[in-house]
Amino acid sequence: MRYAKTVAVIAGFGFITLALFVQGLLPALLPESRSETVSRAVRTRLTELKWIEYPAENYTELEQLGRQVYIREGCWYCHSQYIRPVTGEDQRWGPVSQAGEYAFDVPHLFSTRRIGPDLTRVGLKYSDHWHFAHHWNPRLVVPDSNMPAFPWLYDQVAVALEEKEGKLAFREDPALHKIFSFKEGKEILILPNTNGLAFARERDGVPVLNFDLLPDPPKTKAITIVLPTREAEGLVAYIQKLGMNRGQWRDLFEPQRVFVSQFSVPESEDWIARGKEVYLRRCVGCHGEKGDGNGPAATFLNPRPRNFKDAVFKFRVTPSGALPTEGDLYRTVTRGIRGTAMPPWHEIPEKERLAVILFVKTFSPLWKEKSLKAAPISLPDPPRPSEELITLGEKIYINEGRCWNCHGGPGMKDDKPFTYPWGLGPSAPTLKDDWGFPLLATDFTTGIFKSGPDVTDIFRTMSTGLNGAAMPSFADNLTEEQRWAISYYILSLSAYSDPLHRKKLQIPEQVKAALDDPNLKTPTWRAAFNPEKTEPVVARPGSKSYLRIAE
Amino acid sequence: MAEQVIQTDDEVINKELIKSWLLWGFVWVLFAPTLGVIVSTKFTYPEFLQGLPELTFGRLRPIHVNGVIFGTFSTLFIGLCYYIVPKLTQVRIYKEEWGYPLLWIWNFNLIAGFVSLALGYNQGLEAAEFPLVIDIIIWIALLAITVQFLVTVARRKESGLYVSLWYLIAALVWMDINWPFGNFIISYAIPGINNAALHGLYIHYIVGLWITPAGYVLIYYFLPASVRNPLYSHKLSLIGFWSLALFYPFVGIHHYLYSPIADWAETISIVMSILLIVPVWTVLQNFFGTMIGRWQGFGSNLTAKFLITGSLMYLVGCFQGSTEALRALQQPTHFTDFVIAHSHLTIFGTFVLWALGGVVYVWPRITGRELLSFRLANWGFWLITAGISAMGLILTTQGLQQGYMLMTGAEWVDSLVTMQPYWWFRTFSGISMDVGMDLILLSLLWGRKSAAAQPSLAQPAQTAGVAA
Repeated sequence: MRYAKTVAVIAGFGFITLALFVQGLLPALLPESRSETVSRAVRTRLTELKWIEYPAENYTELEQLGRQVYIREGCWYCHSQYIRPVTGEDQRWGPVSQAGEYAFDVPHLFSTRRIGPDLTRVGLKYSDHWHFAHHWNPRLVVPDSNMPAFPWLYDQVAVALEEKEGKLAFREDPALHKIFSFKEGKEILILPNTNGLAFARERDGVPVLNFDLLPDPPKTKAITIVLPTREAEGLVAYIQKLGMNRGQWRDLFEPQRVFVSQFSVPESEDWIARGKEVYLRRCVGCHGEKGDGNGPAATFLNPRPRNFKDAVFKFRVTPSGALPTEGDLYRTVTRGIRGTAMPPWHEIPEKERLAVILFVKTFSPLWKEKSLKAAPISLPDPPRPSEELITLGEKIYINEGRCWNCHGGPGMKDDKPFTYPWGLGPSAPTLKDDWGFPLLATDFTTGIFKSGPDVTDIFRTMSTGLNGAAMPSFADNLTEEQRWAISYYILSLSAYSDPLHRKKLQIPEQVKAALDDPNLKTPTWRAAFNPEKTEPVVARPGSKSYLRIAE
Repeated sequence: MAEQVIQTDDEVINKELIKSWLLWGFVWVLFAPTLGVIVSTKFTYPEFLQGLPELTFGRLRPIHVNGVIFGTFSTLFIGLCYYIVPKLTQVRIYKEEWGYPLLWIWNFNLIAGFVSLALGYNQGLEAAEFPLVIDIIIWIALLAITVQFLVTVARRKESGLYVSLWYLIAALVWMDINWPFGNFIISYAIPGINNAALHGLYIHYIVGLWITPAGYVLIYYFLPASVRNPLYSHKLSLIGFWSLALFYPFVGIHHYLYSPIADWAETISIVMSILLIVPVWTVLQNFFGTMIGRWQGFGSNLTAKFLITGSLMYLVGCFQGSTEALRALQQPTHFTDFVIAHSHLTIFGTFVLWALGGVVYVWPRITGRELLSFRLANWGFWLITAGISAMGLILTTQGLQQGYMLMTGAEWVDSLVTMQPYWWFRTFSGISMDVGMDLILLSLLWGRKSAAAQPSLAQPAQTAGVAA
């Protein structure tokens, strides 16, 4: 080869251009590769969960800020963002990735390495508070984690304490005033952990120190309060956004669904020892070594982790006040508690989940108490959903059930119909749990249900009540039919809603009508309902005419 | 042509310039791999250097990777080219005086780039992390270097064009095209999965169309020169060159198999990845062929030892690279340390080793200093070899283990815990590599003033081989 030009032109320039054409330009010319729609799980008016082709949503300003933090801190070196259709990834994390999910990603964050798990489907898997604990120090919640801590995403203020009227209180400190607004009328609970670390998310209010949860009077002379910066809020908002273009997919996610609720596990020493190992690796950060819900991460969490010493459990098939069955705990461990820091544990082996339940039972002698044991209530098959049933449900919600008193929505004020904001009924601000901490009444329009997303889950909660919380059992006050009706009504409130941003999706009425038809089946996301293909009248999702119809 | 004699007079080279470039290369030899050890310690001991944002894993990892690619390897490579190109063309470098400003621009720009990465200015694409300003300066420097070398080649006194120069020309042109493509275009435009597909191409152009041909420039020159044997086959060089030029540009999407990127594009990248065995085995045959009849002196020829060890690593690393592109192997191994084994075996095990081989050859010739101690340097060589071999083995094993664990449904954190002992060994293997390189640099920098009588430097005109 004598000619440098040949090398430069053919090899240097020619082949790379050919490759860029074949491997770069041609794939990009495919319309699918530039798609901005995804298949999204939505709840229909008749409370079924179905898949629909729907436009992906761009990041909000806060989420975009979080994405920048994610890039800056190099999160993407260890966390991939695509779920492959192989190696069981769709059973571990969730549905396989679609092109439309990346429509707004520049640069893309696929990543090539997983030192931590894939994050495509992490949105709303954990609560914001869990993420705040996790980014402050990952080992607080996952003892075996090797993820770095990110303390610079938090404001920190060290405050000295002094005794006032026999109680520890903040010493007057200008630093405290720099952080908190001290606006009258709003209390911000500061619940330090045993190491003197306390987390607060809010700043607009009066910080109130509370040591009631700690078993022994603390000897600490100062505590450190940590608060998320806007960057931390952004990062968490971004993480919560991941995968949420697929809507309520998690409610259809098979690996974390549990139907069985009664079985027994032999309470052998071996099982309990195994359970302890599991507990110390997975649970101790929040629930604490003593099982009292005072783990080092607990200060970050709201709602607080369960205190196993009291043997009080919310989600059961047993009557109000009774201990849960082992199956109940197994369901809670497997599917987690949506909207709280309790994640689903479907990934860990079944035996570990069973063993840890046995160990958790060792924290309280009440499990031996005969009087607390009760047979499970019967959970009949649900009736078929119908518009009539839902309308009936609404009436009972307002009249016999008076659910609006806490949960808001349509209700009464001075014997006249009145609509309260969802989740904020007239008694909502006064709600306290059995330990004296403020409770939030569930906002039914979000579609996030702690006890489970099926109508039977709501029915069960209505029938058994939630021990330790303000939710009573309605088993004696309402008939079975009435409870089913309310359950369907409650579920229907989250029809066509976006659980992330808590707003309604923009879907034209004709499309909704088509989806509401029980005969329309969308068994998998690949068979999602496509309004464009089946309803020629309806404009393409995302286009202007589509949105106009939506208005 | 093959029997042509290369002049040993050093009229055409600028020793001071080469020395300065290599010295900066030594800085990066010390810096970037050491950072790898620090980063790897964080796998097993995450509290290590915890608390300062600038020292977290996510900030240090890109400095390690870019440091090795653009610092350690590329700086040594450019420095060695200031030696190789005049030798092969028999003319001085065009605009030789640019060499000094380029030296300072290149290296201070790298420093600025690493500081920016530590401060969190990251473009968010692997191998294109440096912020835009840094990218622009790198591009300008690359263009200037391209002008220097290409004009030098055009003005050459040799009528033939030795294979090293083909690769040099191609590497420079490829890099000049690829650099703005990755850093100016896809970092800021073309959203979604197309961004990923194009980034796959970019990232593999960095390794396949910059590091690989650059490495070939070095070994094609230094192997025949150091063992004083003609190149085994020029026909094989031709096959190797053109097959590389044809296949390599198509492989990039194999980084994102099973993603929403079109299946047929993924398949093309897999086919091309397997076809890469052609250039790899061809050039390796050429290298091992060149050794025929020269194995006797091999043990005491440090340059050849580095080059041949690097070639062995290349054989293993590239076979791994081609096969892991196959869907069946990709399933367990992708996202695991198997891929990291591949990248270390090739980038460090091959290309950094080849560059070190070149350094060991050139440094005494431009400074007139012999190795402080052959034994010391030889220890360095063996520590490096043992380290990278162990690292390749460890990472490959753990990648397979974690991959199959996950395929059979292991919980994520459980799979991490299983990796911990491997990661400890990986850190130690990295330390071994670092200490080895320190010993090499030590014996070069503190070398003995050589008398003219010393054989290795006063060797007669190297017969043959390098010019063709």
